[in-house]
Amino acid sequence: MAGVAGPTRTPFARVSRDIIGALWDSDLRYRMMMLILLAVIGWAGVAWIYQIKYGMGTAGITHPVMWGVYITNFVFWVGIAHSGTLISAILYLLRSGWRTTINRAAEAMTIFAVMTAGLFPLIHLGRVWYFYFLAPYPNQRLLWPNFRSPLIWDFFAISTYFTISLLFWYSGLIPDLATIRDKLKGAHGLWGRFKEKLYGYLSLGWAGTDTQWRHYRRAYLYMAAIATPLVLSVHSVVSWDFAMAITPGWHSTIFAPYFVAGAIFSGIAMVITLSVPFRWALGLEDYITEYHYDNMGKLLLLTSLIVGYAYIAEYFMAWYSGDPVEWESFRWRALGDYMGPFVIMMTCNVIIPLLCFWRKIRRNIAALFVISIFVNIGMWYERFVIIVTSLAHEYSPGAWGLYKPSWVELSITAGSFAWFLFWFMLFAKTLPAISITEVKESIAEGVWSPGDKKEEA
Amino acid sequence: MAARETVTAIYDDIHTVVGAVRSIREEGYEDVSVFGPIMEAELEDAIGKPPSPVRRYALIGGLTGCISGFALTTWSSYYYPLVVGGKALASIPAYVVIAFEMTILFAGISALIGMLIHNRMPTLTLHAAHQPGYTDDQFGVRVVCEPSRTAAIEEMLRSYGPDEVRVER
Amino acid sequence: MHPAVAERLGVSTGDLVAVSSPHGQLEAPAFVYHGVRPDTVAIPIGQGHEHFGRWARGRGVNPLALLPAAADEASGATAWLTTQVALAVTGERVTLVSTQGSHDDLGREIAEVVSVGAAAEAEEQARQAIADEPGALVEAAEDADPKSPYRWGMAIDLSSCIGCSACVTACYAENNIPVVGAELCAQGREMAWLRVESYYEHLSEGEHGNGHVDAQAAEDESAVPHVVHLPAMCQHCGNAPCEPVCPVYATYHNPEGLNIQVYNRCVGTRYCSNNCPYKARRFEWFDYDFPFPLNLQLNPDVTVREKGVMEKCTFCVQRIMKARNDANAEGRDVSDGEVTTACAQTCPAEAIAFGNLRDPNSRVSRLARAGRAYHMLGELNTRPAVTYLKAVSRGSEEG
Repeated sequence: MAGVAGPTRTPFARVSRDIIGALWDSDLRYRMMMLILLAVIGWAGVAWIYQIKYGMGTAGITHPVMWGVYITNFVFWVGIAHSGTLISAILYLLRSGWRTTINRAAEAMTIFAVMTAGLFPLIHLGRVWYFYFLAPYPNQRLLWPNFRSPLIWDFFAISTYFTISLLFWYSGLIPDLATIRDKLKGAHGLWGRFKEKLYGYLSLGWAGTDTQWRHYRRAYLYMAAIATPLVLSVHSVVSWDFAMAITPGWHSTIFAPYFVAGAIFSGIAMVITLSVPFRWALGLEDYITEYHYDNMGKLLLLTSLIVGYAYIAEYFMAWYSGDPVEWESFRWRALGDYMGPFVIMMTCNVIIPLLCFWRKIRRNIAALFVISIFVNIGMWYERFVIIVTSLAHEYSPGAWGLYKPSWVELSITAGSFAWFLFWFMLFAKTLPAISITEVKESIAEGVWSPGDKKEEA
Repeated sequence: MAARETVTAIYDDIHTVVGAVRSIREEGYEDVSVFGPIMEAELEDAIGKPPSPVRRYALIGGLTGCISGFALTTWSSYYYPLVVGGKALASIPAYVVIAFEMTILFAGISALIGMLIHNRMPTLTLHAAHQPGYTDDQFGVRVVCEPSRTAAIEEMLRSYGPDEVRVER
Repeated sequence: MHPAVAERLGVSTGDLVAVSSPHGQLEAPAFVYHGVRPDTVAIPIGQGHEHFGRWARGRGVNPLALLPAAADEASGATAWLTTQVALAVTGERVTLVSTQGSHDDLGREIAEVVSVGAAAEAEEQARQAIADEPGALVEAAEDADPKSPYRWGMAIDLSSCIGCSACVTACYAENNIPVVGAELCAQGREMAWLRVESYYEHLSEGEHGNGHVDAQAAEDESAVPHVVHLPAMCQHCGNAPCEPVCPVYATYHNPEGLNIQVYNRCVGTRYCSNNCPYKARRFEWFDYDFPFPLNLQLNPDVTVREKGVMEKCTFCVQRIMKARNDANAEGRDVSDGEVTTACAQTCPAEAIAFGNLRDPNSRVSRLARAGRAYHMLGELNTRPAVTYLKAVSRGSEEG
């Protein structure tokens, strides 16, 4: 558990000790939690196999609502994946000092969220056993995918995003892995020697020479620079899955910025939701402080205002266009059969985050934690509302219909949360959850040191 | 070449290292290397090596990705010509998305590959002068020089208050 | 029954109602519907079989049980319309399934209606235009390979359509469409490639069909709006919204202007259906059974689809292929009337015409140039190959 308290020779040594000290040892609660998560994942796996065996009809999706909870989950998790690279890449380029203690966990979140999101396009396929038809691979039948389809754009965007995020995250880890390797030098026992070897291999031979640093820093900078437009593009592409369609309620040019803001909004909320229990469990209260939550609260507020603006702009455009189809679609979205989800979405995403205007609330970790949970719920419902209400009331009134999720869809949704948390908890115990190197940089630059809450910031 | 000697000084503060390295460099010593848990732009300037060629890898990778993105989409549309939605076979606006994503993908991967090539990573054998403290809280300044200048260098490094100075002959 | 009757009786759709006449009695679930006169109840005939085995047993009721044994005195026919019945509420409920989402087309250029006067005027103009330019083709004829002699198309006259659904039955039989049963239909999983939608009539104003919902139907609960029946299937659009969104080219435009669905290539993303404004596409939610002896009636020329693929009206492509092969063997083009779809062949009112839009003299080309011609949701510029002819209003004379 948390590092042994007591003074160290230098502040740097304290950082190494505290962060590495939080690794590996797990208590009974942790193990029970992991077992529960595995059980939920297993149950979702059973549900998926059931769906593959008997057909998509086991899910609740139907004509005309052909996309339901699966695509909601897909967009939700891709959204969650946006905070990580935003915090690490964009704030890195902007030299925001407060990112250093949360960027590693946020990046890990990105990777696990993409791993979760990436499952849903597969789960929702009618014939998942032919998923490779989407890949542009040379084949004997001389078939190629349709590069005009937003789904192929998605395929490219999500796989690029996953690859680049993984490499970016791993590059950031290399010096930290070398630190762990050197701390483990001369470890005892089979397990100790295995760990030493493992982190030795993973650190790729990092020795901290100035040559290595010179190439490394350059590569990291460039990866941050290209990851920034990538983050913005990925959720834009996801939004185009909808905006490129002619479906009323989807066909809108506002979708790309609206989705990107929404993604960052939900991503920040998830960072807050996860970091609160996580800093407590790993004893890292000195590393993620009120100072960081204050900043995250500001970002949450900003993106909430953008999202709220987008909701209003959507309604304004529907009215201003004078298109009766669009009109009816938006009227029904707010007042029709799916009024409940609409109200949840509006309350959680627009009204509750306004509390972040108060500095006291932003610096109150418990309050911010509760707000962040509301935002997570609200953002899930936002995607549900956009997808389901638009499809249920389309152009042809004779073909209007309703959608209700089935137990298969709900099981798989629960499984996706368990899957995500499982990886995150595994990560928290095996890799430095806070960037050792970057905290040291913050200390050296005098930006921030562990324990500093920056009350007067 | 005559036998060379190595002077290594260990510090615990990066700002001291910057000063030490700067004065060594001002004296005209070329073969200076620094080890440490972090690196700063100031220190890189003091060491004075040229910018990393990694940026060229990123540029070339990005251009390759962009060109291959457009090439793949356009070529395959003509090779497998199916009309969809009354659109042109070369639907360039749609292909921009693919080309953009491939630009990013290739640029990112080649920047990383460039870094690995220039750092001779991954490797199982660490740099001979590496010490465990260099990834924790110690900075090492290592100067390789003619035996005749060893003493002067040692004194210069000591003047910055190191934790330890070692001379290997 | 009409909503006014339902209100008086205190029943809603699905409530079991006992219907009795001096000659007999039966129980049937109520279906509340504006399209029935308030002083009548309507019961469809053709159900309530007792001797057709397990598949027909227990489905519906036979209204003949209510009728007198003697013929009607005035008409000499069976007393379908003159038998008086009494209604009583039983208190039981049955789940009734409707495949129609809404009966109001909201003036969206879906089921268009025109007054007699306006129709006559438009037809006169159209006749003149055809006489002036006999060889001209409709716009939709462009949407095929320039070298192809064919652009298959369809014209449906809503004035002729009586809503009997014979076309739907023919389509099921021709194309091996699974019959999924009430439970799945209730979930919206009906598999019909061709469905007959019914909309309350409202008059279009002027050329643009900027219609208003018939004031009577919208406001007066006791009014009886007329109903327009609209056979809706894949429109084989020239600018098909479904096609570019498919990631694997499982749906594309073939050189003869057909919107093709390639079952073997389909992975089942269902994006095409989401992007189809006509909602003409159907998805194989399960592997459906064709239990003996239904398997014996499967059409050998049509694939039975696997679970997880999208499907839709093909304009009976298997018939087109056969006609074209026969014509090619004889070294000529397919002539008008040589090939027709199952629905067009079956329509008792000849409301559906199928043929080549590139042949200016084909029946479908001439109908597509008619004065009453319009495209469903034409505003979207999907350039459908199906042309509808506006129903002539039975309601009023003014337009």
